Amino acid sequence: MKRILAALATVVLGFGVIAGIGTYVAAAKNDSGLTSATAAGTFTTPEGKTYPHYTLNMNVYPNSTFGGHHGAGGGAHPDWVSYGLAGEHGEPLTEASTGTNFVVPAHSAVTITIWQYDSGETITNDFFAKVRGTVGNTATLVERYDTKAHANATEAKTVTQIPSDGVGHTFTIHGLADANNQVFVSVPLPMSNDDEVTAAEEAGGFTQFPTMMTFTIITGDEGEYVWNCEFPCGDGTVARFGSAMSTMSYMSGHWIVKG
Amino acid sequence: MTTTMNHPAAAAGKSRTPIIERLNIVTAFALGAISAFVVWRLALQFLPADSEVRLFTREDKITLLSMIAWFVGFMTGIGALVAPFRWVMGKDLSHDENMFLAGKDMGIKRYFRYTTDHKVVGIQYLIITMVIFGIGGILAMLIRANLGTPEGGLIHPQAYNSIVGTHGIIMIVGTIIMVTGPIGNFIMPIMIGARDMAFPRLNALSFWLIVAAAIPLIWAQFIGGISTGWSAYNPLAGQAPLGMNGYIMFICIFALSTMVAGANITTTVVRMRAKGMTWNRTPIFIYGVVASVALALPAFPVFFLSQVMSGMDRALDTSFYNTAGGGSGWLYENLFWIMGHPEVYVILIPAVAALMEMAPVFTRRPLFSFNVAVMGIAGISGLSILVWAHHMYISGWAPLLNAPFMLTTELISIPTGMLFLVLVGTLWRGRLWMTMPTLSIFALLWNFMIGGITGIYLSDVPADAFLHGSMYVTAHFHYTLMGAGLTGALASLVYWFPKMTGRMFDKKLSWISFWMVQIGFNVTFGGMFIVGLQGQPRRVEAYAALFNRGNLITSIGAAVIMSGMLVLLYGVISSWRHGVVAPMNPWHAKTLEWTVANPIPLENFAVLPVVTSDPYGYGKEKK
Repeated sequence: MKRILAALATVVLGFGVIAGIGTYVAAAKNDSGLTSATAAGTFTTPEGKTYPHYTLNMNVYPNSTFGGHHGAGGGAHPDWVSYGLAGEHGEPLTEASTGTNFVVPAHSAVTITIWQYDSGETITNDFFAKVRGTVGNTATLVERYDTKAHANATEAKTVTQIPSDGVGHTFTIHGLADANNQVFVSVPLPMSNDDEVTAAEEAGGFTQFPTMMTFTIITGDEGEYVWNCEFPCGDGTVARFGSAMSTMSYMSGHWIVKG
Repeated sequence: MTTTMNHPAAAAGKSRTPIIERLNIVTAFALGAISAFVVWRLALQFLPADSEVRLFTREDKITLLSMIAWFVGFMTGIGALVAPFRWVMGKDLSHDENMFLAGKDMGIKRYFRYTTDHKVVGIQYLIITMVIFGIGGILAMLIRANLGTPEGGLIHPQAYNSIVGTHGIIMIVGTIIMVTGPIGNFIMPIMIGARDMAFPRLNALSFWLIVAAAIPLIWAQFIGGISTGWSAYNPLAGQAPLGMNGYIMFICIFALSTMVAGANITTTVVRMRAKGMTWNRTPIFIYGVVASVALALPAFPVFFLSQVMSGMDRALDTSFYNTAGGGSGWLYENLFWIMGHPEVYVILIPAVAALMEMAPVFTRRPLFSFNVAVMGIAGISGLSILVWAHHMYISGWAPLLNAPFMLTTELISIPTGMLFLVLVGTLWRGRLWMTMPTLSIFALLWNFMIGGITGIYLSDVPADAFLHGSMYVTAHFHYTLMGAGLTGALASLVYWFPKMTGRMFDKKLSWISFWMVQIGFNVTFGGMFIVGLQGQPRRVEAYAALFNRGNLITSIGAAVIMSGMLVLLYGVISSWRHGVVAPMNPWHAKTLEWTVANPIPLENFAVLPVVTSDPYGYGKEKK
């Protein structure tokens, strides 16, 4: 009997160890936490349908130390390009809780504004140079936004696509294969001025004039989706799918739709 | 008591301790860590920056150089280089020094040194195998915990991928060494009537190489992990985070260990069998071990080279697997599976052979058709090197070869069937002595039958087009490697435990553990077959709701397996410490290891035995 009890204690102890390790691994997830969209009244589509309205602001940096949860203090990979949360006028949010996982309400309108501080080039697949899945299949582009004056430096214009030779990154949400309502959203983010990006980097900062893209998505049913950049922008020998592209929370994240 | 050598310095009245006595696991880890740190700092300082095209390359170089420095430092610190250095200097080790290396009168300290006695190496392998299975088991439970709900989300997806990859590779390594390591080293030389292995220093080397290999794998977890799955396909591995370098170093060092062990075991069996032990009188377990290492000998150099090339693609910007530079991902797939499929039989054959060794003991009957058993092992070994591309049917590489590879794969069921025939024939009408090893023979027949039959569907190109990459595959290979391989290994542990430790394994605990593991196993992988047939892909962090029930069944089964393994762990510890003292031959077996007393003397036999009969002569005395 004593041996059986001791064996039982070993089992309990073993599962305790596993639970401890599991708790540690789960706590160390550091998946930048979840960011909820901010409520902003209601939104009426061109077709006249009205939805609860929410907003999200994001930045794309050529260097992940500039902003976002990877941290102004460094982060594991300072030289990787990265998405990050943004303030009201594109200023970086560096709190540890900010990042690339978003919680948005189901059956709502979410307006996303992305300031793109990185340079760009010709996109591999120009399918992703077109705006898809947004309200009206359009987005509003400001080619130069003055982050100091908090104002548009060039006029805002409505676009359905951008030149394929001037793409910085894309924001693309993919639906799950078995979802009842398929979701596919893809918005190209134009490059910032190359010379300004380089000069700012050499000065240890980021350009004052990023591009700014604004668009609205109507969320569907509840579900957890993955979004990512579809313009390979990582390192690696093959097609630049390494580093930031293959590591969650740099150029990718979760898009969680909750009722 | 510690042996003190008659060193010239000591004779001269000086108290200088010879270097060979100072080196142990502590110096090994210390020197390894210092070497890695120094090289890391130097590389950081002096390695030039790369071109903009490959920013990653410099980090890869630094990581790989640091890991190589760890390896060299560790092996120097444990004492692996002392004898070769002395030999190069023209002063080979003295008799006293060789006795010191053998661990003579050294007590427990010998387990933490570069000890050459095969029995010490066997125990070292046993402990490291248990540690590997412990870590692999914990990772398995984390995987199951994350798959507890369709959404997953308990673990970061990147960490989840790394956990899956690490679980895969360390369990593969654990199963490769689980029989040939502990039993092959401890029991095999005694079983053939030898005083030690042919190359005792290489024996110690093969073990300590595995310890050295472990650190890069642990290191990898902190620098991005192994997010590619255990196969580390290129070009995926070429794009993976720095942790991939840990995988590369781990495999290179482990492959060295396997090559060294393979050469040593083969030479020992071929050259050192006792007088009179003809091939017809050589126990079937020995055939299993030799077949296993004979398969590993050509397979692991290929694996080694595949990883060298992978490392070069990452760190030196070569293009072995980079299509853009003229290489091919198919090259990696071929090299990997040229190792990968024989490796399945490297795992399976010794485990099945061990159960064939036990079957006559516990039925008190001769092994049914010894020659068929040998032919079965030889047939599997021969065919297993001609089946690798069945892992690549859907890859697009050489579709015209699909049919030949389908044929060779399906042919392998014939020699496998021979081994079934031998086991069933031995059990048939035998007087069964019901022990945990006896139960394990039945468990192997059941599990291996399911693993084998499901494997036939996977070997079939049209069926594989549907099933490949699904949980069905995962369930299939667990049925073979765990259901058959691990079952044989656990039976081996209980069977040879009295000889290895001088104590009997607690019977009640061995039975409880057996039933928990086997029931849990069939529940776990039965559930996995269900979701696999429903279409759930492998290696996913979240899944569709329709797979929920099968995954729940699998997770419950996994918890039962873990409980059973923990009972076994307790059984090992308690029996080793407080178990009933074992008689010399508790099973009344006829192989040579049961003719030596417990504890076994340093050189096993006072007088080398002469073999005059086969080891399975049970019941013959009745005639």
